[in-house]
Amino acid sequence: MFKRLHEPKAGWVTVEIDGETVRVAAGQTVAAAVLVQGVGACRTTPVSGAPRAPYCLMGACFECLMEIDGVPNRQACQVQVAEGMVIRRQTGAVQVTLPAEDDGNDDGAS
Amino acid sequence: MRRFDAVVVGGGLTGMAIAYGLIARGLETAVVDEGDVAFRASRGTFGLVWLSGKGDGMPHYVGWTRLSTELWPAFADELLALTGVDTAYAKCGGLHYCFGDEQLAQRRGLLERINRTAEPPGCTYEVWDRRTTLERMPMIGPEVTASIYCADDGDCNPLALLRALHRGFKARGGVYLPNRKVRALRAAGDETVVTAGADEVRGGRLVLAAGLGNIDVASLIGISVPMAPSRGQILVSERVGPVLPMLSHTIRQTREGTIMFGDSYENVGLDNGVTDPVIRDLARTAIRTYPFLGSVRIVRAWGCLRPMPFDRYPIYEQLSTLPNTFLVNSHSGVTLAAVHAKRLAARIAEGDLGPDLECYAMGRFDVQKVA
Repeated sequence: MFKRLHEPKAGWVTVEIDGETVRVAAGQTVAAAVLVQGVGACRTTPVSGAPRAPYCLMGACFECLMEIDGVPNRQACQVQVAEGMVIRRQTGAVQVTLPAEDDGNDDGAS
Repeated sequence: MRRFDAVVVGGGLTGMAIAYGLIARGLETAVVDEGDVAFRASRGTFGLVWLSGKGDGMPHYVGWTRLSTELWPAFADELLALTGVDTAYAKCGGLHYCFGDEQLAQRRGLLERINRTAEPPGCTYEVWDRRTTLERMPMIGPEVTASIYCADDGDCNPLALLRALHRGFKARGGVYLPNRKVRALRAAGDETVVTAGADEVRGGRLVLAAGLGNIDVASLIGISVPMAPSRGQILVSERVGPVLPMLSHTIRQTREGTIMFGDSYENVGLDNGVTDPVIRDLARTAIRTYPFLGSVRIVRAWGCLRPMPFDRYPIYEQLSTLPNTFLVNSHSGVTLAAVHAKRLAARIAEGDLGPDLECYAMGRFDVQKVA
């Protein structure tokens, strides 16, 4: 859908998008890189499971949430691509792991 | 000029609940709404449908709030059936966490004081020691020493509630007139005429329910409403899978997965910004309560102005300055939505608030009269 109009001034970096190694323009945001790659949906929303993609590209809409270098729910439009970055689509809500029940809360109740 | 059986000024939770109740009783009703520049406290509520701790110094309010929590389940069902909008109302009970014996004693003292003067059953509650609290909420932090559980507390999605009220109002033939700020009010026989925007609307009953906007509207007829804006700041987390099975009055997880942190009241005039000290406080309390929240990301912080009558209790009054005109202000538009739609609207329709609601008239602030 998107076509690059000119060669990137800052050159290229290599990143991984959903396990696929790709060359993206340095200096752009992860959201822009993902759109240029034609990835389509960058996540599914926890509310309905519907596919979502970057929208406002300015940090206001929270649609571009992706897992970047192991950290989920990052706004891809607020992060610049970097060499070796690992970018993944996320499905639904982030699952929080609670500490094990006998970890720091041991009051004799097992 | 269009004429209605009732005109309601204010399209927020309070105005719409009353309008919804009026139209359900067969009164042709119009709602006049200012527009996006209004204070819109309905968008800044925490979404609690809460009973415990309410009514200290105002015994009637305990029963009034309790009645609303009893009406809420059927009200939520009715809105869903009529509009298809799910208000996500859940009455799972609420927790008030205590950090130390002094806090527990204080909270217990408050609830006992309330129950001494309220009509029975008042507010029924259970004190849970740390062990019991831990069994139900294993993720609490080591500093939580006890909690107080009230089975009648619950929450909902207040934005869905507002949407449902608007849809339900329209579905029953209500007329919604947005983007019209009230510029004048005058009597016309035993009816009133509202000048709003470029329109004039005539009503057999007039209800001023514009939240903080009531300050301007009431001043048009020389009335000073005894309330001030109260700023609340909240933190909003990223959406996470369900992790908080129980609700507390300061931390709740919505159905969509967002965790909200709240509980602040500031008198700062019309400033709806956020401040470091309050945000830090909210974050600190959150982590003391549920340490795992330390690794949950916050996506936004924001502040909102809410109406706060000087003694925190609602204002319900039939004015003498205009015929058949009622002024309504309340800090608890979500909790009271059911009783506003089902009971207050009926009194307004009948043209008489009734003797039991006299305690909410503005005269209670008149020191000379009360002395």
